[in-house]
Amino acid sequence: MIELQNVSRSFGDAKLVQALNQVNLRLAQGERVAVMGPSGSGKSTLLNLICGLDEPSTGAIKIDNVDIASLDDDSRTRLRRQKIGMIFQTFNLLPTLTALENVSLPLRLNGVAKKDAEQRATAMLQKVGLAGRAAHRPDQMSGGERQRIAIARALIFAPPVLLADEPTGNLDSKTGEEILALLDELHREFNTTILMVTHNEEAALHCDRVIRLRDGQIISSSAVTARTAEGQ
Amino acid sequence: MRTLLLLMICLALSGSAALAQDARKIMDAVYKQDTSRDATWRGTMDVYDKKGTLRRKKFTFRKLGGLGNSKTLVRFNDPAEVRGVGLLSLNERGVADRQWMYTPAIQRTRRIAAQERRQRFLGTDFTNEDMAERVLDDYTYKLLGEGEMVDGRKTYKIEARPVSPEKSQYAYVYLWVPVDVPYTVMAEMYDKNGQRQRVLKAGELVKISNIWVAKRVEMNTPTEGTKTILLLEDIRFNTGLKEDGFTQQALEKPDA
Amino acid sequence: MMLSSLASITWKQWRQHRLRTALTLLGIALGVAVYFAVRTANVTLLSSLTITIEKMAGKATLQIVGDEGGFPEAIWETVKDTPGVHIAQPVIEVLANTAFEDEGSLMIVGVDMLGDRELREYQFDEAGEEIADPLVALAQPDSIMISRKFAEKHQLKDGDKLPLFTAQGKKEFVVRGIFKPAGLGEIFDGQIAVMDVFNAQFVFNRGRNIDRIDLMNESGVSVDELQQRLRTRLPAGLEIGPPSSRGKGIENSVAAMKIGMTITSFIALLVGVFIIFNSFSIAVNQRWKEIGILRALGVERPNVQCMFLVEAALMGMLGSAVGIGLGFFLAIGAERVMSQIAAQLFSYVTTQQPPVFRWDYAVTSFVIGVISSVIGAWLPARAAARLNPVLALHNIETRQSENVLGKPRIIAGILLVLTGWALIAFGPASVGLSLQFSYSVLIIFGLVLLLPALAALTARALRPLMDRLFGSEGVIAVDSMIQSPRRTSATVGALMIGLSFVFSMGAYVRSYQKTVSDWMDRIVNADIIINTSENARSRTNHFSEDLGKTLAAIPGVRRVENIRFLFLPYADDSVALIALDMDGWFARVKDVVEGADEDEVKDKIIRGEGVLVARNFVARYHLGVGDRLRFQTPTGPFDFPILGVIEDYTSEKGAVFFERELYKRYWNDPAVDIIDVMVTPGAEVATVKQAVTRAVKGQHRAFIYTNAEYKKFIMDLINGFFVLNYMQMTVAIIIAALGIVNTLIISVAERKRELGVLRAIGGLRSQVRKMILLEAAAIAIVGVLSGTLAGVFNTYFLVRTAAHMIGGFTIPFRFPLTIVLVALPVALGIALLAAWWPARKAVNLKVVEAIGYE
Ligand SMILES: Nc1ncnc2c1ncn2[C@@H]1O[C@H](COP(=O)(O)OP(=O)(O)OP(=O)(O)O)[C@@H](O)[C@H]1O
Ligand SMILES: [Mg+2]
Repeated sequence: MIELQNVSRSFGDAKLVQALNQVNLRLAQGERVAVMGPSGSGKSTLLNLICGLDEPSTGAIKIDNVDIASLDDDSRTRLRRQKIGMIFQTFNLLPTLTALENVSLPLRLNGVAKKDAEQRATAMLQKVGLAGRAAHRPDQMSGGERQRIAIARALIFAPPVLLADEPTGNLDSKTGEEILALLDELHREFNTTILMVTHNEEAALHCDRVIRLRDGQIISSSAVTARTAEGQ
Repeated sequence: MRTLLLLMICLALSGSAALAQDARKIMDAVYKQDTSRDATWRGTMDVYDKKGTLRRKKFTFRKLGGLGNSKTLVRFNDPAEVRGVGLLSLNERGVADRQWMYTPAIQRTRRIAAQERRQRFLGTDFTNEDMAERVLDDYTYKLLGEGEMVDGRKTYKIEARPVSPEKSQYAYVYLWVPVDVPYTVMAEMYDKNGQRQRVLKAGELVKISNIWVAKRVEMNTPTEGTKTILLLEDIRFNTGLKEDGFTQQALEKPDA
Repeated sequence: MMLSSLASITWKQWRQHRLRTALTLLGIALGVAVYFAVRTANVTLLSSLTITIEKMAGKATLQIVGDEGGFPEAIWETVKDTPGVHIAQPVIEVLANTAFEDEGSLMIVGVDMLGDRELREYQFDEAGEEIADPLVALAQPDSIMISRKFAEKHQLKDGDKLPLFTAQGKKEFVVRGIFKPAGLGEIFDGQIAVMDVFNAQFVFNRGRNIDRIDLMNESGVSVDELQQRLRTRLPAGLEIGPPSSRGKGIENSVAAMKIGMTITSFIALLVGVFIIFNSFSIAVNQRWKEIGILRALGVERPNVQCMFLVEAALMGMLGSAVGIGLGFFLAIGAERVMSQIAAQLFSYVTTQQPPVFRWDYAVTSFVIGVISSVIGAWLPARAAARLNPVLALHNIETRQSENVLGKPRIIAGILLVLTGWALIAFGPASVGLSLQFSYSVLIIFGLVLLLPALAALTARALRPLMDRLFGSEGVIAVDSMIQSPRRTSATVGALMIGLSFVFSMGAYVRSYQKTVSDWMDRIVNADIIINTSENARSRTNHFSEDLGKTLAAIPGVRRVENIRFLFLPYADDSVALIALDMDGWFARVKDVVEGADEDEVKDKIIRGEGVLVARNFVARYHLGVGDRLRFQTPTGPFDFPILGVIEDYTSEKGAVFFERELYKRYWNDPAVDIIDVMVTPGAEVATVKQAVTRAVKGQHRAFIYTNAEYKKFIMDLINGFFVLNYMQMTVAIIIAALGIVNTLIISVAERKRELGVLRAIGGLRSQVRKMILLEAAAIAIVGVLSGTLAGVFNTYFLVRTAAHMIGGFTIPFRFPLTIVLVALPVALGIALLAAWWPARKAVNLKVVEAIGYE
């Protein structure tokens, strides 16, 4: 489903920062992977590369066997829109739009009529448990609610892949737990492939596999069992 | 036309002045020699500009009265452009001269204002100051020498300085008066910087009706290279001219 | 201490947002520039008019001037004999036209060549050398002395012929002198000639009349004293005063221009205030978090407000300084246009002058610029100070809590608009134009308050259309407009103010044109009209009655009517006088006389028993039918009743009409300015016109028009006046464009993060671009709509108040539909252009950076 071959990403010219260094990674359909590592180890960079917001310095990234480096910006954007849902660390909702409008935005961008889009968005809001807040704007909602809106937006296309950058990072543990439960539910329903950055070992337990990054390199990759997690 | 008034001053008479007297006496004689009651003559005026181009005008001149109380009427008759133009001047002791010009083309008589002293009079080499009627007491005189020959005549050289220098463009004037004729035959006018501004020469002296007249008067402006030559003909004195020939009505009759 | 550290923050902000800073500065600069330019151009025009008068006056300490026909020479004698008069010189001024191809007019000054030269400043080269023969020059009336410049231009030398058009037709003059360009020669760019005044009387058929007496007082008598003395000795109707005071009369005649320009400059300043307001609103928005941190760190509210106000004042200073420099150059152009108009419409001749830099104006403009900036920044600064620091720090997404759609605001807006409108409609006219102008400012402010609501309303209306036309991007664009009313109204506001001015100016111009053309259709009814000037009229070139006789003999000519058209002093101003063959005129017009029975009036007018006056004249002087009209004339007082009022747009000063025979009798003046020719029925107008042209050609300087051509000519003249308005409109458009460019660029920059998010969740580059452009377009539409609304009010103000005040004209209100229709695509174009660059920037945004976590 997703395949990274010798992917490196470096920033700057003079003082080169190797954000990612020769990363090889393979995600199967429906697999859930947690990415862990200290701050600055390259986790966000990895996610940005996979969703095509950023381009690798070297190496290839294939999604469904298509090298995204070979695509132009528009095709990459469409790919992102339809196949990849992205959940940001800081929600990134549009402040002027209501919850419903925020969620339906990707559909609208894809040319879906407003009515249809809102219908589907309402359904999605229901799924994340926020049907009652459709008309509220982000600043009228709590952090957890906003993150759920962001998830709803990411999933509106029912994308085969969901990338989540610390989806619970800004939330208290109870709300974080709710979000993770929501992700589990989605996975069950759509068999979504999930790549989730987290600092939270609890959160990692919701995944099938954990990869650990340090200085831009994968230093370990292990299947998750309750024990593994506890043992760490 | 005041040129002619000046000439009248120059046309001095009285024969007996040829002795080595003091300068004022010599000049007194010059001023007094014209005893005429009236005068008439025909004139030709040649004005040469600095390129040497000549402009000639012909006119008749009439004068009634003597120094300090005279009336003159000048009538141009050549060339055609100025034919009929008349100039009337009234001189009275103690009163500023009054002058009028008549131009037949627009049939108008108009007053000529008192002009600036250094201004040329109607484009001639005579300035307005040169044209004004003068009296003996306007200057102080000093005899500079005796014996210099002018036009074959032995002369006195006299320096005249204006009594009111602020009123004159000249600082001083040298005058040459023959020892035997009470008439200014040459004059040189100098400005405040000692620059010679004008040179006047009166030649061809003749005695008519016992009055000395120069038939040829030449005024030079050396600084600008221009000159004006006046030739007098048909000079007659005391022919009995009448007052009514010197009025504005008379001025407006070009044929008179 | 605190302020200085705040100042360093300000400085960093300026550096970081260079573009915004530059655009804001430009906004102030433009406002100040226009303001300064208008004042400078105005003073330059006046000084060039005055310098002309002064140069012509030489060393004269007093001048005596009559009306345009001049006054009898006998007055000169009286003046000369008045004790205390040192020198008095008669003068005639004639603006003749040379017979050279493509050559303008030549100002001929007739002076007494035998008079005292002390008064006159002009000099002849080297003491008379250049008048080769003064005696001939005096003796021959065709003698003319020309400036060296003119002589060189046409290779004229002494004795050469110079053909000129005079009242008697074409005449050959002879160059009999050349003077060097000093004094008089300097003015008119060398297009000046000198003649003997008496010769000039003769050749220009002025009889024994002169135009002016220049005089100098004796040293013992003061100018005022002499002025009083002359006043008691001379007949009334003569203007006696120092040359400089004549400038005031001219100032009066060009007052209408000045008012128009001043209004423009206020508009420009207003937009400047608006740009500052925008810019600071956005700055405060952008610096939400920064302000929060500052407050959290313990910076007091007043200090935050102070920081922004000081920043605004600094911007104001910089912008004003730039504006003054810019304005000075703008003034050059403005002055050109104004002096052209002065020449065309008022027949005033000016001397090209470099603009006068007035420090007092510069200082005023500077202060106004700074004050405007502070005013513009006041509300945003207050908002910044009132910011809740907790909220500000809490999260980026909370920063836009907008409450601009509140009811109080809408009510206040509506109240302001209504008050302004009511004041214009019902307020007394006597309060003065500047106060009345403030009414329309009131309306503008009201509309600014209403803008967010207006924008939201229009956007909602636009939504379905956008959806149909542009799909979801269109709707998103419109929605984003609705969702941030503050941002939208900032942009719309700038556009609205500029456009409202353009619309109202345009509407005013259109209304005026329509009114005048309707009026001409009623009044101008001769088949062929012959005028003395290619401008509205000539002060100096006239026809004689003989020309009319010549024309009457042409086959196909049924009737010839002579018209005298001039301006006479009236009250403290002047009034147009039109003396014409009343019976002929009445035969061709119907139902023109107001306030009296037309047939009765007609009989009396034809018999010369009274006058007709223009409607604006009665309005101006509060007169009515039955009141008596008095003028001083060369033969004594003219005193006749007003028999009727007619609608007339000849002059903003008003006009008086009566029988030409009456005029001739009182003014002793047979001159003719316009000849109306009626063609025999059946005769071909074009053929007759050709015959007339042949008869006149080479004989007279005349401009021959058919009825339609004449109307077009008048319209063109009026349009010439409107050049000024078009200039104002251009300035307004530039300002509006600047406003929209400014706010769009800033608003796109401000939305960097939002646009990044859009891209991150799958917005294509083209979609983002489309959205930005569509939003700009939507803003333009809202701008045009609100501009139209504001423009309608403004137009109402202009036709109701301004036109009435300036010219006493009643101009019906007309909706400027065409201009609105034209403005829409133009505004759209400008908006799209303005948005193009920020859109490009937004599209090339690095998404990852844009949505960067901090
Ligand atoms: N646009 C950029 N320019 C320069 N350096 C960058 C850029 N983006 C990331 N980096 C660097 O690349 C490295 C990896 O950054 P990245 O954001 O992927 O870390 P992270 O693992 O997500 O850290 P965190 O847990 O703090 O979010 C860091 O050293 C960072 O400084
Ligand atoms: Mg990260």
